Amino acid sequence: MARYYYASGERIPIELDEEQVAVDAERAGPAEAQALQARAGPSPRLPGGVMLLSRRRVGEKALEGLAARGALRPVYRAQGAALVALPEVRVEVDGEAQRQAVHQALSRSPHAVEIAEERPDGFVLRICSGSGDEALEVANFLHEAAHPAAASARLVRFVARPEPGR
Amino acid sequence: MAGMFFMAAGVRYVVSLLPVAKALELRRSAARAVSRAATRAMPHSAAKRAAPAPAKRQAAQPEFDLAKLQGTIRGSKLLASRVSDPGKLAVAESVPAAARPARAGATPPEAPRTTIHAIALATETVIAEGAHRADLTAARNQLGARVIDESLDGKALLRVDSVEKAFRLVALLLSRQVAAAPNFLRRMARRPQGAGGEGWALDKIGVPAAWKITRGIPDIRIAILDEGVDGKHRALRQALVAERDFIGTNGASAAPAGDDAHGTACAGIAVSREEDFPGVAPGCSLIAARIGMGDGSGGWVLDDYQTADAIDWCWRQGADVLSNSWALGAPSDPVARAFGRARTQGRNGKGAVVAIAAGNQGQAISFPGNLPGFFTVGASNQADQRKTTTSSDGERNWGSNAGPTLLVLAPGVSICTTDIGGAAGYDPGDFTRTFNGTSAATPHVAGAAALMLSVNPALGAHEVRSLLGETAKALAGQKGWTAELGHGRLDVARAVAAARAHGAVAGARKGGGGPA
Repeated sequence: MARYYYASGERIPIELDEEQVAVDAERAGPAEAQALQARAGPSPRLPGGVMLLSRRRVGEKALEGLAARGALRPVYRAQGAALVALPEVRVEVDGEAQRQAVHQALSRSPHAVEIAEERPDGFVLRICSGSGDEALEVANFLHEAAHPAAASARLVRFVARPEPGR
Repeated sequence: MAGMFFMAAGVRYVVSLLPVAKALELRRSAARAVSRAATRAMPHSAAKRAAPAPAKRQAAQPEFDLAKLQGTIRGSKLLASRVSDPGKLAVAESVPAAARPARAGATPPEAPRTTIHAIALATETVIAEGAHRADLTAARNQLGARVIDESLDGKALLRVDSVEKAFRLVALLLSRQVAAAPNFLRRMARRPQGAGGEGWALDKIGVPAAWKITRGIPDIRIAILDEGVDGKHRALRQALVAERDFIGTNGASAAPAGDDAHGTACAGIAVSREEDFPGVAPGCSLIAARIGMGDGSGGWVLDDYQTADAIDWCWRQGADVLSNSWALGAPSDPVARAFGRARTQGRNGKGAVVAIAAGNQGQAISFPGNLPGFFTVGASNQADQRKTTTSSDGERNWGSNAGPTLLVLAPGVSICTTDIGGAAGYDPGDFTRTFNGTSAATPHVAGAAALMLSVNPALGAHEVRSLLGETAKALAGQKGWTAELGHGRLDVARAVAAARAHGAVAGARKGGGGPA
């Protein structure tokens, strides 16, 4: 399980949030998603079809079932933000040499990855397993093996509202 | 009526009642006398410069319409419960007498001041705090007082059948050690238009003077990246030229959900076209990108990719200025690189101005405000202090962040601006007077930069940044840049004048979407 990601060339440590869990509503199925909301309280449908719920209110038995279906996404904490990694990686390259290096690294990746989109300035990669954790690991792997301008898992983040005192 | 008084902040005020028209005339006479005396005391040259101003201010005051005020009172159930006959309204003129200690722990309201702008009208009601049953019984038995309202923290509103009895009731309750004060109705005049309605910020940072040079041009576009903007708002809709939803499913609409009013407030500070609540750059255009939304539990949710895409979309839409009143906490390369592209590729290579809020935790500036080379903005208050938990504004729960990337401070306390139309948003109605934070400060800088680009579109983003720093007002005796104050407090008038004077303006044209 990834415990860091890269930003500005530095490792940003992340910690697992023990209190919250993110559920992929599509993988959970509509009936289960509805039952979860009834048990754990309403959650807005967030980017990537993710529901952010209290682990305690979901319950261990339900969590086991969701994990078995690949519907759980870990929630991490870093510098005041709660982060949910979605199974996508964005890679940005500055030039052809970096692009080729990324292609070569992908051929050696321990995780199954497909190129969802190739752009003039990089790639969007999809993690075949649907795991957000693997997205973090793939991003870190590419950063360390191919040194592109940037390699980042897609993160949905939860932060405090920007206005004070409301 | 002899002997009327009340207590305020430990001071005894003696009261006389005057008909409204008489009170206003006396105040105008007094103001003219003060002005004449002050002018006589000035050196000759200063007196010549000062002489027209008082007359201009007087001429700018709207005429006071007593009949309309009386009609307003009659038409309001609440206001009408305070006075039995609005036709007999009287102004409570009060002057301090010898001080008398207030009851321990009581905090009477401040004494009303009658000026041309503020009138305190006497009513037949009295505010009592901490009255016991015996006190209320005595009030009823001696003066016929009855309780007509009770509210939080032991406050009660008592009613008698005349203004004279109201002051006798105050005296009675004070003699029984009850914190009591006459309940005044206050009529406050709006400030002259062009000065931010009842706000302080635009005057403080020199916006009216800047408007003598420019109020902004529509070719200059300010992008607000936030939780959506109410594009149908009467003060914003004519400015809006492009919008898009990057966090929800609204496609080409950046409309906010529910009470997500933050973006609408930021947009208003920058570009509001409302005369009583103008933005800094009311002549400029608006681009709205919805990048965040409420998460249902008091926070915001954003998506790094979508935020990066929104930044790229904005500068590709021709945004000259991007205003970002938010923080992400942990850093994100996609977002940082998108900001970098805006700064280097925006405006056909001259660079878009990217303004970012410093944050409100009273700590070190976090991402993205800690990215070097952008326009990171902290907050100041009415007294030109850096906003802290102990600054004089009284907002104890937040303070402006500090750090090596801080550029300037700008107003961030009690800001008047647009609110989501109708009941939704921060306050009922279409405007709010209490927007705050470095969130509020940032669009002030965005608007200032837009005005600078309006007079000199040839400026590069780095030049705008330098000029803003050079023209900022030094605070607290600062000598040069500091991590807490940046270069000082934004001065829009000086910044716009400096922009106009900087480099060659003739022949400079704002580039469109094509090659430079």
